[in-house]
Amino acid sequence: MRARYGASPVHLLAHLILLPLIAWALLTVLDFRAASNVVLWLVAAVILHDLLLLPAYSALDRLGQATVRGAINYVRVPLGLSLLMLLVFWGTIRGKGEGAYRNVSGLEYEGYVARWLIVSAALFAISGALYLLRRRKT
Amino acid sequence: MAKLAPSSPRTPPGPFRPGFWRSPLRGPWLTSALGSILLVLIGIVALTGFASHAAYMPNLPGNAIVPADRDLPLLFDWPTSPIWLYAFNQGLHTNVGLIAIPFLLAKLWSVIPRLFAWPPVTSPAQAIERLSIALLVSSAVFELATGVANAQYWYPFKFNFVVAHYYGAIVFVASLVLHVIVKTPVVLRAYRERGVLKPLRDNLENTRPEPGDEHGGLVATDPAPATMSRRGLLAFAGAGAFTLLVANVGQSIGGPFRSLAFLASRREDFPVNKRAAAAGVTADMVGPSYQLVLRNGDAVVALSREDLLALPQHKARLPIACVEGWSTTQEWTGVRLSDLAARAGAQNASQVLVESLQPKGVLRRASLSGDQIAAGDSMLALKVNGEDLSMDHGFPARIIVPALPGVHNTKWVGEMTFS
Repeated sequence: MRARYGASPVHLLAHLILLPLIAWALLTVLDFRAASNVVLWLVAAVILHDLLLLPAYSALDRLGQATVRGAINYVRVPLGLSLLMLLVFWGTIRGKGEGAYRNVSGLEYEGYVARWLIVSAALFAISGALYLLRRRKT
Repeated sequence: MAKLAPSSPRTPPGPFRPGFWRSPLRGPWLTSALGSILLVLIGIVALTGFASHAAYMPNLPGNAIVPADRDLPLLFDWPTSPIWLYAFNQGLHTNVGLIAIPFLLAKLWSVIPRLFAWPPVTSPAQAIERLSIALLVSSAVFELATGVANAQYWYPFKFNFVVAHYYGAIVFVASLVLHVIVKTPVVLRAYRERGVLKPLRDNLENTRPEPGDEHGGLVATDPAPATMSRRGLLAFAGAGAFTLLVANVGQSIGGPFRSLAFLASRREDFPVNKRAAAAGVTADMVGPSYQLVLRNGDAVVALSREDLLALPQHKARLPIACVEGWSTTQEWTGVRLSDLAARAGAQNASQVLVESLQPKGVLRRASLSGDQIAAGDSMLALKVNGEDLSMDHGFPARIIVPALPGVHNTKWVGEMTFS
């Protein structure tokens, strides 16, 4: 079994039980509206992360390492946190949800860009202060 | 770069070559550590997610968004106490979901060389495993992306969010269970060989590639010098989690924390989730001619707002929480649902269908269970914080039931049908 299949019977059994459940969930969701859009999103999720986001931040990191040798983490960490906030709160920072939000609440999305920039600046300031402090010590 | 990584002449160039991936941090221990952290976080997100699905009580009339005959048999009667149960559930679901994002990014970074393994398939077991990994990564990113977008009122997709997020969760959890079954021996071996926490002791100078990795292909064959320790990497992901938490959690906790939630979409003290104008409810519909209609079989009772105010009034401080994770606690005053049931001649009603004056649209009606009608603090609220409800908060009358998902607290109530 192991020689032919390449893993233990538990491996095969687990897949035989759970892959049909996954297939059922996928077939069911495709029965609702906009099936092709669900497929597009599922496929795009992997492609965008593995072939776009990860190579992009790896290239940025490499560029950073070449530019600020020795002090990379003092740039990498605040920049990483800032970009993480931008990625996760794209909807509020870029005002993407503004129309729907105004419709449900009667209010405006306000100040998100400013607050994101202020917090990012504060992170860089803390990082810079730590850098100076540690360089003084050594 | 003294030694070149071994690769067969047929191996395609670039990321398919073992020497391409050079970080000295990658290895079975790092991936195991990130996987263990994620398992706890994702476990919380999944449990609270399925609990929230049950909290909508899809088995009652008008409540199901996913049709009952296409649902999993995982439903149970959602309780009315503690009163903060739904607020807590959704606070966990959304905020732990955010915390999981940086750890998922780190986890995916740690295993990226595996995507480019060459040859791509060496056995039937590996082929089937790669399929389940593709489903796992795809559904994980899908769930987090759709959840985050929904909480920010951003709908860049054409599908129904609830339906896709629910079935996506089933794909995600099932492929995660598979992953855990397959990888537990690998994780245990990594912990046994390297210690569970021991690699965290290494500072930057002592950070070396993990020794030996005959099964994985994760450890770099041509490692670059370390620029960050392993504990540094975990702290980086943790700092990301902390930043996202601070940016958002205030909308779930409320009080003074609300203004700290600098990127959350709900920073107001008493959010409105559906304005009267947006719902199509006009001043005429709730004017002096307004009557609440109670039905019980053929019996019909009609009550004006004055009639309702003349009934015994109950007061309670209750949180109302949205599936999107925000919550607010207010002092509500109104008529107990059990008193209304008695008025309608349905003392022991097993359910009630509550319909809004809202002419059309989703969530214009919702059913409550017998327990929810009977709960002492369940009421048809007429006032909030001592003042008449505003139009946007459901004037002339709205449902408030402890621990009920926010949108099921129907506003502008026009009819209640007991059975």
